[in-house]
Amino acid sequence: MGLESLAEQAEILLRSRLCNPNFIFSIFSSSPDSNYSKLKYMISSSVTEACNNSVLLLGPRGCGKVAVLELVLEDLLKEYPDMISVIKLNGFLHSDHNCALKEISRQLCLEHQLLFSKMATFDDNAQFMVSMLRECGLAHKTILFILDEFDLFAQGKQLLLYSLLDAMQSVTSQAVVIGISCRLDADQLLEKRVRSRFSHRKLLFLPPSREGLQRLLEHILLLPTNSSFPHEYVAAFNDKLLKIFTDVKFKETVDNLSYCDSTVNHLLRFLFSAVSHMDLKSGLLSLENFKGALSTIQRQPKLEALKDCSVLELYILVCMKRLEAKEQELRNFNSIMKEYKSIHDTFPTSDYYARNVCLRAFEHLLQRELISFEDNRGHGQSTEFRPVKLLISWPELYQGLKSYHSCPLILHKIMDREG
Amino acid sequence: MGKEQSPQVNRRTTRSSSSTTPNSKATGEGSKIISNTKSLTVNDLVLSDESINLEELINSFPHRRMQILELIKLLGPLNSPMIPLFVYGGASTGKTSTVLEIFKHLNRPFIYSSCVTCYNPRILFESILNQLLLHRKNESNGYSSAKRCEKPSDFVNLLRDALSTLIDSLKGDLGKSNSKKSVSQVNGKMIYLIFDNLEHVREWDKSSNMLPFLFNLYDILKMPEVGVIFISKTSLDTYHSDTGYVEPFPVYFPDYTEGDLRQIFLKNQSNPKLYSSFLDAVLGPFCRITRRVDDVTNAISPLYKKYCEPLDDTGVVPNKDMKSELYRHINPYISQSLKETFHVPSQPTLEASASKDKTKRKGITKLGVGESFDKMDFHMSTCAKYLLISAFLASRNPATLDASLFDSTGGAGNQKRKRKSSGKSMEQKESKEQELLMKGPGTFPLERLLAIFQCITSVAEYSPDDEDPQIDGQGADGWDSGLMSDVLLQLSSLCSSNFITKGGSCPLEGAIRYRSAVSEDMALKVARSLKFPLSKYLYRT
Repeated sequence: MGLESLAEQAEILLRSRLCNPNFIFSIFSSSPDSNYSKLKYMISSSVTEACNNSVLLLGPRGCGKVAVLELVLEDLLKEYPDMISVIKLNGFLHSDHNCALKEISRQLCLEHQLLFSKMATFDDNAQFMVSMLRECGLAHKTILFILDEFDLFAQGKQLLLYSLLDAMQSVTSQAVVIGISCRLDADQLLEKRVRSRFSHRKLLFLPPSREGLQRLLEHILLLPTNSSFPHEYVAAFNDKLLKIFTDVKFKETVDNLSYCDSTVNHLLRFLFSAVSHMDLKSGLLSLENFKGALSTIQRQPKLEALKDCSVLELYILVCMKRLEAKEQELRNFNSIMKEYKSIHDTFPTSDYYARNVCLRAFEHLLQRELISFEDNRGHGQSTEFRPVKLLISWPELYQGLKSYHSCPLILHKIMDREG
Repeated sequence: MGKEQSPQVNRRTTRSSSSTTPNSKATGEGSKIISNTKSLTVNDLVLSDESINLEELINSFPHRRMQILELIKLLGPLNSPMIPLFVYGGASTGKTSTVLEIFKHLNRPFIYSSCVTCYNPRILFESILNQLLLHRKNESNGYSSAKRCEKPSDFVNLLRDALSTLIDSLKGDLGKSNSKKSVSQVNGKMIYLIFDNLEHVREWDKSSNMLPFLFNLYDILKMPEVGVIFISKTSLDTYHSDTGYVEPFPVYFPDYTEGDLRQIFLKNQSNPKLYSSFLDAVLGPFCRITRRVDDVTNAISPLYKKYCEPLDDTGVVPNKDMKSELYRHINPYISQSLKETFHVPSQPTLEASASKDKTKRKGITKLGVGESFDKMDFHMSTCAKYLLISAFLASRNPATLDASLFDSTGGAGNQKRKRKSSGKSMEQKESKEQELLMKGPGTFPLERLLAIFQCITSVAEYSPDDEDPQIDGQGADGWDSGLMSDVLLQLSSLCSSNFITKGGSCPLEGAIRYRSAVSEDMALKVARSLKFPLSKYLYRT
């Protein structure tokens, strides 16, 4: 195989690894006191002892809650093949009680090869769920309810949560409810009657430490030695990669990355960009790939928007800043125009444009989200009268003007004067 | 017999027409039309039959080389999974066209839906499902969608099914057609979902979870054969959410610089050197106002016609003297055009200026605006006009002045009895008046509007009206009651045409307050058409 096609294959392999969270988090499952083992112990004990249980998995987005749960379920389904059935619900889709019951019935029917009718009413579905719970309990089969985005289920009347947890109270049922949420206070959102039926077990998922990060990088990026790739290529690839990992600049890059966001998802996006830019001719990853990826993933959108502005739009922004500095209460398009005129009177330039042209530039700024209206609906007033506020800060505006390539000197003078 | 019947216009079958016996000719035509539109295949998910190579692609988008290469690298080799991408940049920077042309180059199947044409979740879901299920809305199925889908839960289930069937058929095609070589075959077994104009989703329903749902769609589906691409005008930090969402990977399309714009405009020009000297003169001033391609194009295309006017032969290459002469010719038009907003004129500009020379019109004709300035260009009934003026006055003047401006005889208040105030208080009053003007029109209750309306119309009766014989024909009373009876009707029609808006209501009183939404120019036009002395009633110190 030519080197380019080899490199392509390697890239495809790495990309599929990066898009597969189960692979990523399998590394964290080995140690005994990890969340994986705790979760596995808890679920397997409730399956074998035929008791009900509930647990919450909490942690910021992108820390592997769903992935670890999937790994646990994979293992458990292998160990106890016929004793578990899984129902998955998502808060984005099924926070409405009707939708949730319909989805539960649909998944139960799918699993047990029953016919599901879309015309079934809400009562039918509810009765079906209760009777299924009873039947499964009698057959010593545990039903696992996985509620993703748990905090969305806790909005409103929490009917689904109550009915699920209530059904678990009966002797005949065997169910485990696993809630997953990115809000660390998800259990505080529960109503009193729901909370009393909930066992307050929580597992916290946190972003990995530095050593964990290092292990994760090796786990993801090193090519496997016993694969279909030729031996020399794998050896060359892995050697270069290990050398990069020990490089001080690489460590700085990764530190820089985790300063703003240390979750695994952020790291995965960084690695994805680096892998996509792999040089296909040499077939190896290099330090430049990683450095380039860092700059593409750390963007400064407001400064980019400032660079895109035209000179007239910059004038409008500086006028708004001056109005703010003067602490004028009324800041709308008309007052900005007045300020613009006064600037032009003091420093006459060729940049004095007509009112309708300025209105158009004002609307462009609104589109770019550098300014926005203060009220939401505006009471039906036209654009010229509604109060606006600046969405960028003073240092950002200053920095943007400094880096603007043909910024008029007047604006610089005004900004320096304002301090 | 066939020739006598006029060619039937193909109408949709309404209930009434389908119940009557259709004549054979119509059904014959109808079935012919149906058989002409063949059913969709997977090949239709790719943009077109011909493919373009990379050099052509980069050349067709000047100054987008970096972004095109970045996107191609992120899309990756054939059949490699992808994290969601987020393409963002200002308006008319070429995001949508670049993405679609890249897919044309790569020949990979994609589903495109824009959140402008699909303006609520149901239409968005159904549009995506129609494309995936290769369903075309036509007469036979009554222009309905393949599946009815309103809720995200149904959408995810149906989407999963549709995607798996499509991917299986792609895999099947791939296996089968290894021996055949057909040019229009799609590449690969991945399907890409493109969501365009994502910034409109923010306004759909503030309390719904539509945005986090779309951003998390890739994670919910858990299918590595699907790629998701979002295109938006604003950057990712303008998408607010309470609990956050999985962030897609950003790709930025910057606005074009002046040099970029120059190259873009010089493409496909018949006389590049002439156009380039034209751009030297024109591009600089316009780029100080805006660098959006559509705005600048609209502004400079009429100017180019003017620029070429003194030339007899537009194919000529200008030398230095010619360039300076042409520059002198075009200069006044540039400064005039800079005062315009960049709109496309509704009438051709040359005719407008020609007619200006012929007929001496009083109105100012600017380049591109052919209407005269002092006349209303649409018709309103007299009652509506008076109501509009009353609303304008009510919004413009503070309520405390009504008594002095409109006394019981209906005449304008005597403003002669003003005392001469000191200089400082005059300044204060002027600044207060300016403040009031800048704040915008105020609100007024219905009673005040009707009171002012009555005053004004009673004035109008007494003023001499020679040119309009109808008014003093019937007698003043008849006209007056005729006006009053449908004033509430006129008010509601003015509200629905947004001349008067319903402002916020006072929480204590609870009555609806109205606000006038017309500019002073418009009110002056209306008043002039009624020969009403508006300036006498305006609050001025």
